[in-house]
Amino acid sequence: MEENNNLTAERSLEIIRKSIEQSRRDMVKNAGSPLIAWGILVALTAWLVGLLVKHTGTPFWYFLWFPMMFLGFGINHYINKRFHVRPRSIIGDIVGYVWLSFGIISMAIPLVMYTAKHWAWHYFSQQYAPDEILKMPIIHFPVTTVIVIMLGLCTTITGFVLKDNWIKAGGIMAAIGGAVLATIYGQQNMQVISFVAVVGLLVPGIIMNLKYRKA
Amino acid sequence: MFKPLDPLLHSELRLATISLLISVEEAEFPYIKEQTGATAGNLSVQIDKLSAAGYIEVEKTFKGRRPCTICRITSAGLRAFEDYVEALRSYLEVKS
Repeated sequence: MEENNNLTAERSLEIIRKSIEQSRRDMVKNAGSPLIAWGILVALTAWLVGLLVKHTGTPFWYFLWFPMMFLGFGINHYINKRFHVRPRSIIGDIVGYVWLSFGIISMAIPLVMYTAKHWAWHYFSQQYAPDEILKMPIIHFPVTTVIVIMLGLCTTITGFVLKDNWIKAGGIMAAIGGAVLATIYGQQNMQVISFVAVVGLLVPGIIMNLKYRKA
Repeated sequence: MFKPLDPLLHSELRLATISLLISVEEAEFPYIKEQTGATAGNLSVQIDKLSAAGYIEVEKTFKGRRPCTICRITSAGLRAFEDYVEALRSYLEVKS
């Protein structure tokens, strides 16, 4: 593009229209890639954890979620770096902050609950006799259910921000999957998480990328 | 009556640059260069002109070890763009 000062009104409007359309397209181009990466990662981890817990009988394998989260943040960082020339927009920022909040909270909740559970067990076992502890009211906090419902919520918000009905539907289905999770225990629990990761992350991510690449 | 067109915006490259920045919060120099198809030297000169007029804000920073130039539209730039579009409309209304 040269420095041409003899523009007609039509040519000026054409430049404005093209430029605005282009920047709007680029703002959301590849915006679905982090969702795809997280969807694959969560679905595979849930499947792997379910399989290992079933075959070994030890809940130790649930700790695999922590390295998975660090791996996910690493992949996210790589994706952001790779598409660094994408312009920054309020839409991209909102979607980014929604998922960053989800990442922080979904990592903090299991850590805090696990620490609190062990601290409480240690404290009460020193203060009370075992039969007294067994009589105490115990509140079960469904960590996985809460995280999966949050995931559905974040996907639905993303759908509203990007004005995409498929993503909104995926988010609502994922949140319902979270509610179903509250009634399921054991290995099927991990199968529901795999399903939610596919419906709430992978599919919306693919839809977003296809939609904005075509645009 | 025709409204006067802002001479600073009435240039292909400067108008394209402002139009790209209108719907984003900020954009890096390579992105604007890629979208406008301008040479780095020419774009740099036009960006300096827009910045001197207070239409855009230019931030020179580093991304890792690489230098990075980030451009943002200012409220003065936004007003000037709105006035420019308004002036264009008066031209088109007379034509039609």
